[in-house]
Amino acid sequence: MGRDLRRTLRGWRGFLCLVAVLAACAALLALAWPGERMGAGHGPRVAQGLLMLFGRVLLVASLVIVPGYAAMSIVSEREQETFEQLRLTLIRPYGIVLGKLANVVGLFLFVVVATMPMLACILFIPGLDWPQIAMVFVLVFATTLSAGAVGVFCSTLFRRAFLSLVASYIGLALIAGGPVYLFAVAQLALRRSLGIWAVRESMANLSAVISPFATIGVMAAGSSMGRSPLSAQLMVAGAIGIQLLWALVFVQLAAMLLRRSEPVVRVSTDKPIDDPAVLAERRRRYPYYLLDPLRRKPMIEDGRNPMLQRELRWGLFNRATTLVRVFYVTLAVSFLGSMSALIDMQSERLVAFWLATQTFCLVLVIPALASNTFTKEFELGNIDMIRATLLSPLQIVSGKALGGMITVAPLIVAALIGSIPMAFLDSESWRILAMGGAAMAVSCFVAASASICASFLSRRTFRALVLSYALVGISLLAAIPYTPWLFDGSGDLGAAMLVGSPVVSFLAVLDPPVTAGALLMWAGNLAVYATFGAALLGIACLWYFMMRTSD
Amino acid sequence: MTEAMNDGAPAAAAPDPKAEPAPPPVPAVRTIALTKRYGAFTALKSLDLTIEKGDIFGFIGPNGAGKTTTIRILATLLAPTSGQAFINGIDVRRAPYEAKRRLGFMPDSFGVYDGMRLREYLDFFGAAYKIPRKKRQGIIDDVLQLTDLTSKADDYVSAFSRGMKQRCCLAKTLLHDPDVLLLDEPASGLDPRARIEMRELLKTLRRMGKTILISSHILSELGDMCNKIGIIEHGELLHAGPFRDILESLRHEREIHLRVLDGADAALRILEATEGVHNVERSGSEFQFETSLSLEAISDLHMRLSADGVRILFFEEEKGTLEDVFLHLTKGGL
Ligand SMILES: Nc1ncnc2c1ncn2[C@@H]1O[C@H](COP(=O)(O)OP(=O)(O)OP(=O)(O)O)[C@@H](O)[C@H]1O
Ligand SMILES: [Mg+2]
Repeated sequence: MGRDLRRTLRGWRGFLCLVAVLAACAALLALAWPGERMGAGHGPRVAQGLLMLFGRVLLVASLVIVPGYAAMSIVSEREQETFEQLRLTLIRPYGIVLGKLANVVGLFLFVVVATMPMLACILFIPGLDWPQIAMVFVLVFATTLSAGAVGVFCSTLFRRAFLSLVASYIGLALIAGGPVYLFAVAQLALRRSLGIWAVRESMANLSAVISPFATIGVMAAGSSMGRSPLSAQLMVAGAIGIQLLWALVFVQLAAMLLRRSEPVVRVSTDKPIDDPAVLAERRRRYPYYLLDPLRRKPMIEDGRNPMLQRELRWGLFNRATTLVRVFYVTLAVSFLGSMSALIDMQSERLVAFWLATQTFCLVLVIPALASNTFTKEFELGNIDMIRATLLSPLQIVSGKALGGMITVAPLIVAALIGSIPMAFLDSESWRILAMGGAAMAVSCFVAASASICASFLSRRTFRALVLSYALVGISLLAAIPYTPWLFDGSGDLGAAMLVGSPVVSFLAVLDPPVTAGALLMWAGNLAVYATFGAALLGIACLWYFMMRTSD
Repeated sequence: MTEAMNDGAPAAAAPDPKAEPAPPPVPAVRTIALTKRYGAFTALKSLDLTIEKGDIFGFIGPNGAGKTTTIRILATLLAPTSGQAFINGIDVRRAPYEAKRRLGFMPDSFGVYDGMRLREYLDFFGAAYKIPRKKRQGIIDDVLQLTDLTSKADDYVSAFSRGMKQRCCLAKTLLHDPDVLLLDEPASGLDPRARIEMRELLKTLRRMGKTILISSHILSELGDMCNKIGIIEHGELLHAGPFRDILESLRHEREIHLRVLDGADAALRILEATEGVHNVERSGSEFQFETSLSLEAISDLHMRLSADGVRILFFEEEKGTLEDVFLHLTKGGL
């Protein structure tokens, strides 16, 4: 299994990861470097702050890099059909799982070692003790292990690299970020309606043990929040323990999955149905059929774009049953959220908060749906045959891009419909709902464009997915930290419009009095983002034209 | 005017200065100094290839010789580093759309879409080749019949076996009735029966007037299907021309098999005494020998044997195979 690690390190991707993490570290360190501010008594606090920042960057890097590699590990062998051979060797399932895990963790440790010089810079500032540093690193290491284990587990669970990747990122988001998010929501809700502050304390403790990000937060705030160093240390130890436990559980599960025999992928052999009576009967039995998959499809009309027709008929509606279920689930979640917002009668801010939350989730889901629109043609090996037809490049590109857009549309529609109950809160809510809906639509458009663009730029879904999350993160999510409005509504409107994403600007513009000028700026912000989305699509098309003529 | 002159050509002793010689027929496929580099590696080195209309041209070469590269350039999918490629006289770089209209391309490896039935698959590609909907239905039925897939029309393509996928891809290739077929290893993965069927199918297509470029490793099969072959190695065309000519030109030694009814001893004496006959092997009344004699001399030898009272049952040449040619011409090594 040593061969894996050496091969990975040689690849340019490993190098790229390294450079990216180093650049991020250096940039943050430079931004946060105390400089003049460092007075006599501040040394320890500044140094601690820097260490925690450093720890957080490493955590983020770990949670971005490790699941991606781990989730590809076994599933890619399976896709390249080398997996059977691996199974035929005498390496036991544990050996395979641990080997893959060691490969990924090793890669990340390499990244960590490379950041050491920067840590050394922090050590110049007095006030850090070794146990603290050690704890940060052990925590990062434990999180890396658990992230790797989740990835490898997904890699053994799924037969498609794409599913494995999506599942492991979403799984990790739930494990690492979920508690923090729940904590924030609960805090907001409980503070307003019940005023129970004790709950807040215990929840903070709980999330600190579960989510490594919260753990680092506790370490940073350890002394200032009046916790005894001992209890803070216990908490960190608990957090490390939990991460190791996750790792153990998922390694165990992965090995168990590897031991089971390979299931045969069943391909449906159902014949199409021409009899309308039978179709009607089936429709009665399966109410979630938008279009019966067994209904015979009419031939493609002249003058339509065959590529788009293919995407819609066999991409979208073939998965119609799945899509309809996703639609219902989204609708239900959105509706429940809206209803719970109704309980707290006093606040239009809560309406805004729920809209923003939904947008956030949608924006995270969209790359999973849209980033394989084009890469799957490469992976299936169809691209040459399509290019050899008389379809113009424009038809191929627009068919693909539109198909991808239409695939994500049901989700957005469901979220919008589900939010409607909130409009009845008070007279202001209609306006908030309309504006929030616009922000949601534009954000989703940008996310979909980014994913489709990434799909055109990459040949593998794996890379397209990572690239689209990066694009979405930079364009939409990176602006969220600039949003103090989310909780206390203070801040500079102009700045929010300038750096904010549609959601940020939407939240910023809420505070009365809503002037015409503010609305204009808001509309401008949306227009800029919509243009940005369109530009991404344009880049994708241009790239395709270039690729077509060079290769 | 020109035609009339040509018809009466023998009579016209003094050629009319205005009558130009009939232009040579446009070859179906033609490459001129075609070169393709991948970075520092040269996959095709100034390849000149000409395939006349109506030929079945077997394109043979070891792994990595550049067959797929050539075919992809001809199919307008890959830009050559330098040189030109023509399909029916159309430059594939200048007028890719016109070229694509006339060529059918079957890649060596290809996937199939999930969840599409064969008829739907062909409908999609038919629409992509701009076949009007009214005509498409009939064409799909014809093509299904031709490839013997009619009974599978409503099955999912992704559930097909390798050989059936291969036929389905060929069916797709025939949809727009191309003049020139570029088939990259169409027979790989087919069972013997399917191979024979494929061969018959290609012969049928040739009778329909199509030109076929077919690359393959299965030499025995190309041998009795192609009328011309080209052998490529390391991006260079080693030999191209009619199959028989190549065999002939490479033959320095013929191997001849002789069986006599009686007079075996006399036969052995004569053979051993003849200049230019060697490696005579005898087992009972059967002989095997090699000779560098000309065709006339071989005929003379036959007569001399008869004249000396040897009663000949069989006197025949052992046929050279494409394998011999291939091994003789290529050097091996990647
Ligand atoms: N995209 C590419 N980048 C770099 N080298 C390539 C690329 N595609 C092909 N080659 C190289 O070009 C050479 C010719 O490849 P090609 O696929 O044309 O061979 P082939 O004759 O079709 O072989 P086979 O019989 O194995 O199919 C090979 O040495 C191959 O390694
Ligand atoms: Mg090839």
